[in-house]
Amino acid sequence: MRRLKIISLSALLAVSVTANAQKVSINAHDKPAEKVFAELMDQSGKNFIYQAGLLKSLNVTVSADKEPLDRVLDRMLAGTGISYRMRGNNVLLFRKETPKPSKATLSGFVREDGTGEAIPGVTVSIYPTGARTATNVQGFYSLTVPTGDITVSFTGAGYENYRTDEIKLTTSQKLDVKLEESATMLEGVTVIGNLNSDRAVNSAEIGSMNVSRSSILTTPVIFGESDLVKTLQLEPGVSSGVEGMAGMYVHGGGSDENLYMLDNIPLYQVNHFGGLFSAFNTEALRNVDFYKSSFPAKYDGRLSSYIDVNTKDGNMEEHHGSVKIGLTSAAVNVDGPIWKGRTSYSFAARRSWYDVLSLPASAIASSFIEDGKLLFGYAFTDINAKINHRFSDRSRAYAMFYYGEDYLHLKQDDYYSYWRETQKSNLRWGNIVASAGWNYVLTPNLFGEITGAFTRYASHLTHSEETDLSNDGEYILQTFDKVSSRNYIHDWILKCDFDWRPHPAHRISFGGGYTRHSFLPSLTKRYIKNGDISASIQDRVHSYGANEMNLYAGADWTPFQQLRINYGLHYSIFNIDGKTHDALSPRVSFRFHTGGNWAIKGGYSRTVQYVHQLMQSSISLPTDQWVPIVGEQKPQTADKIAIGGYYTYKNQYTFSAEAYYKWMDNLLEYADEYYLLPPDTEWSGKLTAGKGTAKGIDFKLSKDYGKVSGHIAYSLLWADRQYPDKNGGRKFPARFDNRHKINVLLNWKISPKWELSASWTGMSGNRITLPTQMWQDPLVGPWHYDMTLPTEENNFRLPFYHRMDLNLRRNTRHGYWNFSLYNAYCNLNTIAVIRDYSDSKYYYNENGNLIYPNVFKKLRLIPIIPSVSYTWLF
Amino acid sequence: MAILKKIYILLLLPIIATGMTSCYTEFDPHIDTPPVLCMNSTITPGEPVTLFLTRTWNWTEGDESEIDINVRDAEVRLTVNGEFKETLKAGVIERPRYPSDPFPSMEDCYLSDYRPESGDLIRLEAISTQFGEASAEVTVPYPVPIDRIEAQVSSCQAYGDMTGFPAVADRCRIEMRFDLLAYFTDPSASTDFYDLNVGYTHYSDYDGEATAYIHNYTLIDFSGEPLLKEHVSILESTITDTSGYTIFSDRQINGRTYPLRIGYHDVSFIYWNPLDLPGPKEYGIKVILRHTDATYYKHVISVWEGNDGIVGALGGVGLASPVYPYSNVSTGAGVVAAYADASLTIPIVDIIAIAQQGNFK
Repeated sequence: MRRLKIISLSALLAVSVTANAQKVSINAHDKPAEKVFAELMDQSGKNFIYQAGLLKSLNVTVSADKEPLDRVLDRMLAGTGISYRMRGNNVLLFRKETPKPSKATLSGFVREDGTGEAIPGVTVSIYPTGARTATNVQGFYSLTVPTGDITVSFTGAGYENYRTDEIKLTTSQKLDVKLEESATMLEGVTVIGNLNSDRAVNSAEIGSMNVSRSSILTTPVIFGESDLVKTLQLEPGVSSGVEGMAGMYVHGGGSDENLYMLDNIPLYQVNHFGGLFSAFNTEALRNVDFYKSSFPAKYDGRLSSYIDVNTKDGNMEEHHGSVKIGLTSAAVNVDGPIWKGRTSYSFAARRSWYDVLSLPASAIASSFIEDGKLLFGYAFTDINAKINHRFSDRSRAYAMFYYGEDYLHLKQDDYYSYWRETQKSNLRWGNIVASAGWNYVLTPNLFGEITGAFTRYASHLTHSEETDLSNDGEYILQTFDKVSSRNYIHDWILKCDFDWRPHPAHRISFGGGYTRHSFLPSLTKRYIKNGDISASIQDRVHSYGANEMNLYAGADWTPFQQLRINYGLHYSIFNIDGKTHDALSPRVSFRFHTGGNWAIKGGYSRTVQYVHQLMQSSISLPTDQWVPIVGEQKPQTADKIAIGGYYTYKNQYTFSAEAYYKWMDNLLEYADEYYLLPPDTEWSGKLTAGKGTAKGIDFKLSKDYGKVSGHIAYSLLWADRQYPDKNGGRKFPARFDNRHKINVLLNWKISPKWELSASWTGMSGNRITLPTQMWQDPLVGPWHYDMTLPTEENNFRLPFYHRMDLNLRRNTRHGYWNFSLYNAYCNLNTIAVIRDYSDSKYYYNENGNLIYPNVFKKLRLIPIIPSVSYTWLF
Repeated sequence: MAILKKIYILLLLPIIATGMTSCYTEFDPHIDTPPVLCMNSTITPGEPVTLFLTRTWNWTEGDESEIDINVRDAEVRLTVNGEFKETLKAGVIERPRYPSDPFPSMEDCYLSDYRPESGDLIRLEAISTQFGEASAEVTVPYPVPIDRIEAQVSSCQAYGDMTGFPAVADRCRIEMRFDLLAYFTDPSASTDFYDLNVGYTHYSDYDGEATAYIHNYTLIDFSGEPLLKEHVSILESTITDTSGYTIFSDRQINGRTYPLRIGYHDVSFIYWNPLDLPGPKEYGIKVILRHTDATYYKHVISVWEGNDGIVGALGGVGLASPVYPYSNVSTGAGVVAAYADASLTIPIVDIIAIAQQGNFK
């Protein structure tokens, strides 16, 4: 409409003159065209008709001496883009239609020099057209531009910029590029961000960021174990949950509302050791994208965030590796070519040391106890393996395998005069992911990938207790009680993803997938033997199979330079137990340049979640189960609107402010007193469905490059929940409703040898439920206990939490040392409140009895923890 | 070894492990909540209803023994099977401060004239001008009899004059290890809950007249009975202490006859006059099978969960929501439960007779 209006405003304006002569004489040098035509009109007697504005700002140069008018006009208008047509006494002036230039597509892959690893997120710009795009996760790019002489520039954070010589683009052609890593080339420069400043003002996405491996490695963490999730915890809007744990609660969401994709395949259990470490071995990582506010159409299935983790493909040119030895774990990583330039491998393994320490410790402890023995061991293991093969410049395939497991073993013998009691426990839980994919450049501007995968989380726990009578040194079985429990989720996945770039201004992604889920939320078997009587009991098996299908299409469109829109739809169907749920998840976000380096963004997204994790506590336990929605339960949904403002200064400093409002429905949570239900009650009977809201604003100022880099972030959050069968149906604040949160992360590259990182976190304390009213013991049961009256859920906020972590890295000739201090100034933060008796305010009552008054006490826990590790590079 | 078991938690949960360096700071959370009525009553067939009506109190007020929490001016109404029966009268009765309290204190209570019977649906309502209202109801269970008790003696050593044993003066001391198997038949038509207890029909320190007494050195072991652990998950078996609770449900034995195993380890009996053997039958071990209502069971389960269950253990250090003791009172404070006991005694001489036969298992 606006365009038509402009046309209507540009009504034809006729300029009419009369003249008799056919030959004209004129001499003009860089003279306004309107004046020249006026003179010609006088001499020729012709009427000159043209659109207002056609001759505006046009100067012409012409010289003629009694020449025919048409010849003079030909010379005068040459090269001006204006033509004429004579009709009787009128000369019609008009703008010549220029023939459309033909177009060609330039496409290819951007890889790292020396390793051949694909580099995602590299900005590819073509001059003089100015068309630009970014490489996808496989390093692929495609731009369709007018043919002609062009130059192409490649800009990736952490890499040397590269600009080609002039290329004559006449037909579609391929251009693969290798970029040199700059962090190691430029002495004293560290890159902790990767394209985030560019993303901030140019992409249409809100709340997305890239996490490079180097930024994970330089973030100081507990025990010096660099960890992806703990790096993300420093971002605004992300609550870490319990201190020290790799929890992630994004914008007031739950810990099971984050979708971790390992090479495009969901990973269910992302914690080791109760959540102290995440399942991601930093040595195996290549690139991570994190989305917390607006989501590409490709992602769905979780309510709060998406973490797209890509592992190393492996060096195509030469073998490399590293061995890391720390206080809590050791890791090894090797990668290299199998067939140089064609096939590469990457292998990484990590294993904890705890059992190495705990087994002898428990054996020594047992040696001091005459009437018993105890053996205890705990360990976790991660293995990442990948093979990558290039069939041609257009065709590549890979196979990936991940195995992660926690293992807890316990054996205890108690000896008495005539009998012995033996307890054994074996607990194993973890993930397996196996996938294979093939990607192919179908046309210069269409990239496709097909993936088949199996992903599994399972836990298998067994415990047995046995009593034996002693008879002259022999033991005779008396009673035996063995219980075993299993739970798992198995997924078979087939999916296709396409990346189509029909126009520099339009990038389209689309695809679909099918997942066959198998759930065994809990299967408990028990065998008891009591003298001559034995019994086997097995819970009713609540296993489920489910079919999930997804289709999505999304586009990134830049209709004009100031505006960029990302929009898409994700459609999902979930079929389980004869019921079918479906959901349409629309997403739209936009970026508007207000000029300079400012941008304003806004967006809306809906996410849907069909599977969720049952967690009884704030730490990760092997009994936590992934279960689907069943029966009358409905898919969990979240709708989120977000708006933000962004500013970059010299492509080095970035400031962002992002506000959001999220409302969630059909959230599932354990109901009050669920633990009173019989052990064989199906999990769904223990849950209650409710709703929640979260709102807040995140601020972040970051400096991504330079000797000193880092960020300062502040987030403000309100989050609440409401369930009919919890807290009496009343609304209550969420557990990790950390109202204010400040994070400071600094990295100082002191010299090529020394690098210092520091992070400081300060936030409003977590919420806990603190009952204060007591009631009289009914004397039912074996002991005398304090009886507490139920109170409002999460009615008390723990004191302000703050902590500083430091990490000093010393680069050596063959590797580097990491010296870290967790909680450097040893502020013991409060993690719980307990009811206890005063140690200091005791008194004697009227009866002369010593009284220790009842008090509440803050339990302040984790002190300063130093650690050291060495990584040998080869 | 129980201490060692607690170490597992320390090893499993790093947060708790670092608790070795933790510290505690006293403070006032400034949470003011009003007190409400608390009703406590355990109802048994044939006994008057006794209700202890108190108010809740803030933890920082002090222990219940130091403050007056009794509510004496309330109106308490008793309804039986839907019909109003009477208003309970105020009274005073002995109340232990904890189970097996040897010095129970006198406490205010409300007493009924009516003596409930098994099968009665009892409803209690209390109205206080100061603390509001409270109500609860419970059905009185029927006793479930113990069919028989068998003893499996695994060792026996006697010191004294006794047939088949070396004679010493006029008394003998017998050290034994044995298991009792108390057989009972669970009713099949209902979901039933039980509490297993044992006692002695006679216990006396030596006073010169008693014909037998049981030495203090007695270890009663319920750990051999799997039914008592059905509420314990594998993870809890591994990392927490599971002993001390004798409640169970009929989930695994519904409608079946089942032997409950009770271990007597390293127990000593001293008989004053062993020549009188087989001796008086009344001296024996009494097995009590308490058939409880669901409230009783749920309350004990919740207490176990709160103190020894995984969620309670984690809740204690701020890692999970608290587990509240179960209450069936409308205010959330108190337990109005009911039970019916059935018991059977096995004479100690019968156990000794088995030992004399050398029928060790």
